[in-house]
Amino acid sequence: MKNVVINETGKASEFKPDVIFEKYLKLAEKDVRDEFSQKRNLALSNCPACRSKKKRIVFSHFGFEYAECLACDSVYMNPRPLDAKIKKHYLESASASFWRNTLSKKTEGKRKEKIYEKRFQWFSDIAQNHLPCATTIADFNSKDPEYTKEFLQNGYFKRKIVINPYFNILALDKFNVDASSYPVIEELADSLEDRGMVDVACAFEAIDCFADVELLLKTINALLCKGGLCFVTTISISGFDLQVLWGNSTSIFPPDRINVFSRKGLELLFKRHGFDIIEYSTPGFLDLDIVKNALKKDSSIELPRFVRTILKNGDDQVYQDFQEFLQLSKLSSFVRIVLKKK
Amino acid sequence: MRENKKILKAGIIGYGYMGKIRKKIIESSAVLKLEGICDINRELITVDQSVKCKIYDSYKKLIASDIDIVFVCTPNSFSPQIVVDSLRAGKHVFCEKPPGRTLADVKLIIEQEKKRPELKLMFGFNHRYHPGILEARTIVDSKRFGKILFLKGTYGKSGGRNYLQSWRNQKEVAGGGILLDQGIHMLDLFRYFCGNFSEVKCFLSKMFWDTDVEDNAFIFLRNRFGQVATLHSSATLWKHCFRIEIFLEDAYLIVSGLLSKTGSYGRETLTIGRRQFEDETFALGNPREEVVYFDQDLSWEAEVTKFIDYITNDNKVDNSSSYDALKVMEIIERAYKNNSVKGCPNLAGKGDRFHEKRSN
Ligand SMILES: [Zn+2]
Repeated sequence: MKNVVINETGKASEFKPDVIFEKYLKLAEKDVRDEFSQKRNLALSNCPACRSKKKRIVFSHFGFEYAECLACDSVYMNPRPLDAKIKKHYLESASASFWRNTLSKKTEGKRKEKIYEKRFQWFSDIAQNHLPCATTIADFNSKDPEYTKEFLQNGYFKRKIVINPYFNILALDKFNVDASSYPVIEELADSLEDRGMVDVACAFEAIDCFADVELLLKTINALLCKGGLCFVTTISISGFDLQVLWGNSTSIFPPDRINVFSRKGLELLFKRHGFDIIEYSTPGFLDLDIVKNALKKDSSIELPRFVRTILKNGDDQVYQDFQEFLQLSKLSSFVRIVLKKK
Repeated sequence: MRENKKILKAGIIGYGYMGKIRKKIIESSAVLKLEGICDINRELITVDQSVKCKIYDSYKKLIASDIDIVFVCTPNSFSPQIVVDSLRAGKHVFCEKPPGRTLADVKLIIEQEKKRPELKLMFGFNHRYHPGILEARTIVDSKRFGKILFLKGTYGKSGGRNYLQSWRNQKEVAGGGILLDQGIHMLDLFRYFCGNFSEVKCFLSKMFWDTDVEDNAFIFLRNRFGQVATLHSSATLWKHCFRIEIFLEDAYLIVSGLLSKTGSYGRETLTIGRRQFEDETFALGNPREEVVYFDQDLSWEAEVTKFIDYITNDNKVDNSSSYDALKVMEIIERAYKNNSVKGCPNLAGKGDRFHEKRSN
C-alpha cells in the first residue's frame, strides 16, 4: 500500500469562507432538525465499518447523537436517517441549494484548481499506471453540479456514467452540458445492468453521507470489472483536526458526515467488500488551519497546551512541516484511497 | 476449474547472501520446489537449520540431478562456467548479477545459450522490479510528461570493516570494484529507461580503500538521441544512498531509497514534480511535488514470477535477458578501458587503519 505526500499549502477559508459557511451551517441545522426529527424516519445502526454493536455516545450535532465504535474507533450518527430522506435533503433543502448556488459558486475557482483538477490528475495518473486500457468511469453520489460538469468534460475516459446524483441532473443545463447525452443512473442497486462494465469508480465524499454503506460498496463492486479501481475521498476521525476538536469540529454534522470512519474502520470496510487497498494517503494541508480557526471563533475550546503553543508561535514553515508530518504518518483528517477490486 | 500448475524443481548453487534470499523466494512460490543446494563451503548450508533439501558439494552433481531450474548465486569468477554447464545440462538458469567478470564471460554464456534456445536464461537485475522503479517506468512509458532529457544516478555504500576481505573487492574473483558490484544495477536502470548508450566516459578512483579495484566510479553516457546519463557509484558514501533522477520535458521523477531487509538505503520513495516555469508560479523553481512512499518490496518475488512465466509459457526472455547483461557489461568494459585515472594521484590507503589484521 502506498502513501502519497503532497507539498500543498492553503487556507480552509479558501474553500469555506467564514461568513458564508456560518450561514450554511445555520441553514443546514434548521433543515436537518425539521427533516429528521421524527423518530420513525430514523434507524438504529451497528458500526457501518466493522458491524460491531459495541459503542458509546460521544457527542451530538444538530441534536443528533454520534456513537464511537469500541471495536474500530469509527464515529457514526446513530440513529440515522434513511438514504431516501438524505437524498431528498440534498435535492430539495434550502441549505443544499445554498451550498450549490452560493458557497460553491463563491469558491468556484479555488475548488476547481485545488480540488477538482487534482482529483482528475490523480485518477487519470493511477488509471494510466494500473489500467492503461480503461475507457469507462462512473461517478457516485455527486452533490455538486459544478464538479459533475468538470467530470463529464474531462477528456481522459471515453465513457462517463453519473450514478445516484444528489442534485437535479437538469441543473447541468445551465453549464451548457446536455445531461441526456450521458448515461445517468438515479438509484443504487447491486443488480444494475452495467455489471462488470466499469473500469474506474469515483466515490468522492460519498461514504460520508450514505447511511447504507453496504449497498454503496456492493454496487461499486458489482459495476467494476475485475481489477477495476475505485477512488475514494473522505474525512477520517483518526485525523488531526478531528481528534483535537472532537465534538467541537464544525466538519461533523448530519447529513454531510453521518459516517466518520477511523483508519482501521476504513481498512476493515473495504477489505470486507472485496477490495485491496493500493493507496491510503492523507494529503490534507488544512488540519492546523482548521484548529486555529475553531479556536479563533471560540477561545474556550479545550486544546492540549502543545497544540495551543504551535498555533500561537508557529510560523508558516512550522505549519507546513507539521502538515507534512501528518501526511507522512497518515494522520491528516483528509483521506484519499485507491481500491482495486479483487 | 482449477489450473493444474506444473511444479518446477529448482536447485541453488552458492549459499551466501543471495543464495539465502533465493531459497526464501523459491520456498514461498507455489510453482517452485527446492530440491538441492550446493556450496563448496558445505558448512554454510549445514549450519542453517531451515534447510530441508539435499545438500551437494559439487555443482556438477546438482545440475546432473532431476531439476528444471538452476539459481546461480556464486561469486563472479565462478558464475559464467556454472551457467554454461547448467545450460549444457538442459536446465533453465537464473543467474545473479554481475553476469561474470568481463564482457568475454557474457559472450561465452550467450554462445551456449544459442545452442539451447528452448532454455530460459535470466539475470538478477532485480532493481527493475522495485516499486518506485516500476511506477517511474509506467509514468515514462505513458509519455504524459514527454521524453526523457537526462538521467542522474547515485548508488553507494560505506564499505565496512570486512571490506578488504570480501571477495567482491578482489579483482581476481570479482573482476572489478564497486562499479561492477553495485553500479551495474544503476547502469542497467539507465538502459531500462533510455536504451543503449553509444558514448562512455569514465573516471575511476581508489580514494580510500587500498585494494586492486576501484572504490569510486564517475560515468558519463550518451545515446544516439542525445540523452545523457551520469552515475556516481561509490564505496565511500558514508550514508548509504540509492537515487535516480529522471528529468523529462514536463516533469521530473526521483526514485530514492530502497526497500531492503535492513532499510539502510532509506524509505523507498518516488517524487513526482511537474515542471513549472518561473513565471507560471510563485514557487520559483520549487514546484509542487508528490512523494509516493512504498512499504512493500515484492521485487524478488516479481522477478522470479517473471522468470517462471517465461518458462511455463515458453516466452522469449525480454527483461533482464542475456542481451541486457551483454549491453551493460559492454558499458562497464568500456568504462574500465576509458578510465582516465592515469596520471591521477592514487589517494587510496586511508582505510588501511581499519584493517590491521588484514591477512594478505
Ligand atoms: Zn467499528
